[in-house]
Amino acid sequence: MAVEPLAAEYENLLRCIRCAACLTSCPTYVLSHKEEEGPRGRIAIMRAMVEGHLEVTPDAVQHLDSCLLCEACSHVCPSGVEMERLGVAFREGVGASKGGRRWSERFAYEWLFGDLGHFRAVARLVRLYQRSGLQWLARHLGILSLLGLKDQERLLPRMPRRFVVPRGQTIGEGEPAQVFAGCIMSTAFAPTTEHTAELLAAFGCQASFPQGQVCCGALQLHAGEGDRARELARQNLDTFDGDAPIVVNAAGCGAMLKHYGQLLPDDPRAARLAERVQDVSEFLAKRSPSRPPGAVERRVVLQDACHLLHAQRVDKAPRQLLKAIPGLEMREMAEPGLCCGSAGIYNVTHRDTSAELQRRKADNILHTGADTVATGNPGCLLQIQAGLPKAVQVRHIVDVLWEAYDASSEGR
Amino acid sequence: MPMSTPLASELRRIVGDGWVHDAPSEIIAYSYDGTFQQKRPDLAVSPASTEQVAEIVKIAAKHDVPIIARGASSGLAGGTIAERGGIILSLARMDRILEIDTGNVCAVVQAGAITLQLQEAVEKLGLFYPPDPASSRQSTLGGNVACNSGGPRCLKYGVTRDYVTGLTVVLASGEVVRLGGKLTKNATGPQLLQLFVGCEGTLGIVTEAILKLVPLPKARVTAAAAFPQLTQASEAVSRIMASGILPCTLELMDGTTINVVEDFLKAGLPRDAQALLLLEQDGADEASARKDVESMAEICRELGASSVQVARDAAERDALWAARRAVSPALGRLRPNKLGEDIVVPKSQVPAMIAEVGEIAARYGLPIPVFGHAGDGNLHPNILFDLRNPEEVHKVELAARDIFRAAIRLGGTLSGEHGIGTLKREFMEEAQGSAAVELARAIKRVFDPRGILNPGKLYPTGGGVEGFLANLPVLAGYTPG
Repeated sequence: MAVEPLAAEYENLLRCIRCAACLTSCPTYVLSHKEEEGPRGRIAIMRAMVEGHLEVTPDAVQHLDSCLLCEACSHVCPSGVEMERLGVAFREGVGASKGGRRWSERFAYEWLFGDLGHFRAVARLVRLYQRSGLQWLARHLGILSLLGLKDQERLLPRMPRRFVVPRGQTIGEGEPAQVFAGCIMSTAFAPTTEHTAELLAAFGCQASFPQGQVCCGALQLHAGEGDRARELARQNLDTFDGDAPIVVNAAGCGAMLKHYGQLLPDDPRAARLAERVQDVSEFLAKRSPSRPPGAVERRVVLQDACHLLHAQRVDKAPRQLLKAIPGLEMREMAEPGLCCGSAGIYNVTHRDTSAELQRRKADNILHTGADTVATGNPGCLLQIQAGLPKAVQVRHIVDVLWEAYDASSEGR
Repeated sequence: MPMSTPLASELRRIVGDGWVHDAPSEIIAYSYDGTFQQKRPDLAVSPASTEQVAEIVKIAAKHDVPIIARGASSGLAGGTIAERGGIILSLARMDRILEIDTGNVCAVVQAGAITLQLQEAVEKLGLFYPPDPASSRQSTLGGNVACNSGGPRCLKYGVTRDYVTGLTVVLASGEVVRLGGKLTKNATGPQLLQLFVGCEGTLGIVTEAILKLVPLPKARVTAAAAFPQLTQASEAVSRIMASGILPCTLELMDGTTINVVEDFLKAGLPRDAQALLLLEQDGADEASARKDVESMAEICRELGASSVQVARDAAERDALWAARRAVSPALGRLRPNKLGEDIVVPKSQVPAMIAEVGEIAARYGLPIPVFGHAGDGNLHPNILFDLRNPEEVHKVELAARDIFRAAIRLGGTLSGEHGIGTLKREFMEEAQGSAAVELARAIKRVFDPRGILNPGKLYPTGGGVEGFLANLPVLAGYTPG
């Protein structure tokens, strides 16, 4: 039965006291003002399904699928509803009942994200496409528009020449810290991930890239592919042994790894791994650099990634790190907790809503007069970059810090 | 998709395709409010303008179906439940702050504008909109007007009613009236405008409001005092109010509430205290606000407070407020359901009322923590229970009845800031007398001869007190495997 996984979350559903505190935090409610497009409405819809008052109708699926799983509602909920768990349970149930997915989805979740080697191979193809002149051709001949891929193609990150391939290599000396390299972060953002390790070294740590690590499984879980996600989680449990902190530079992956205990309740290693996971900003804010930061002349606005601010409840650490940099001027934007519309693959599955949120975020950023946006998640980075004029730079917070600590010389 | 009914088609012609909510899951989404009640409407509709609201009301009249206006539907009295089916009219989309007029010191808002968003907007200009219901983050100003909402600050600044100087109202006929204006004074009686404040959508549908603003106090100082005895806290409240100080907040939590909150928050609240007072003063400067708070703290000490803390900065102030803010979530986790009452008694009767609640809790074996606005006599006894247990529901009915009757006996009434809705209507005759209720009914007949505007709310149905809770609509629950 499609609602079985949801029925297992019944107590979670019952926590909702219908106070409506979540409405103004929810991106889709803020845009639409529709109760069925807000957290309280979605909870009522799911509860009605579990209680047998509502079939899994197409309209219900539409309203539940439009949730970004950004966790802003869970963050403000006074009674502790965990929305991400509900959304995941619903998608897992409905995905199973649909009797299989499109080949492209199966390809992505099983083959592409299932093996970092496959992922790197595709990333190399993307690089070839970008550098060979094919991209220029595709854009100018209007092939992308024909295929309806114009917006998606713009979100493709520019592939660097070299990827990070975790083979147990280390950088720096001192307190051990294991780096979770991720799929996108080790390929499209390979320089940022290298900078992460160098920055850890500059903060007196020995950063290592354990061999055998795979994708965290968040995309799969959010798409209702729970079994795939659990498979990946088990591989990561095998890889990240010991008790050194696990440092993550993608908010989405960090949130996912911190939830491994819930994902694999029967494996005692899962909860222990989850406790070791820290976002890179969280980790660095608790430690001292081996030398003071140099000046960085930037007006920076921090864009809180939903999976850092709402899912991990980390907001002070990145600000503290940035404020410690001389010459760097911090700005704050309006609606800081409102999702930018990236949300995993939401910008592909829900193009209009995503674009509206992107515009709103861009407006809020431009209003601050900042020349740099710092963020801690690759999805946000690409989404915001695509929505802003070139004059405003969008940087991973690690790259801004790396500039200040001139960490390039570390451990090489 | 089900086939569109003639009613839905007519509404779509007014508001456009995306703004009629009649798919099965959408009807569920407009079936509840901030209580445990739930009843599916026929459909819901989201108009974008006063003109559209007027057209929709005409259609409701033509089809003779109920029309229930709502904002965020965060109400705590069942006021926006489609008890008899019909059209839910959601004003959430009409959320604009149309104007902040600094010269006339007022704001013009649409009914769906969020209370906190108005407050933040005017505070940037050095102005202040004081009414602060606990739901200000989500509730709409239209809903605040319809329920005459209050909040902690209303002790000093007055309730929503005191800030409404103008309204745009759609009448049951679909006619639009504009009452009042950007006026500080208005003796052009009778005050029709005030009839719509607190009418819960039964006399007309408010679509726009002109709200008075005041200068923003620049400083705010907070203190908390714990007392071994409840009577000491009440005495402190009386002494403070008689001392010439008018604090902006005087909040009270009883011993049961303190323990429930401490279980949840683990903030080191005094578990053996029988009362916790939260005191706050604002003012033009820090020194004068602090002087008042120190005087209040001194009164608390003289009356035997076991501990008094005065916040030194914003962080300490937030820590003191954390306990008060945690009350609702903490209570929500204790039992599956709660009935949040909202009685108000003369200030001097607060201790007597709390004592009565204690006796009632013991009589029926139900946990009934009490908290509220001690400074203005508005108390929230919360009866905690499980809706799935019919015997317990019956006890809750009896306990609620006894609480209402005790409040009335002490010179008080049913609601201070939540409104009547479905939850308190059967007690209206006991609270107001049958002549007053008959007069109100006569007014309702003049404003809404067909009885389409939020029918059944506010006025007693004649169903009587017996079973007033058990007869309310809920979607029958279920017990998982």
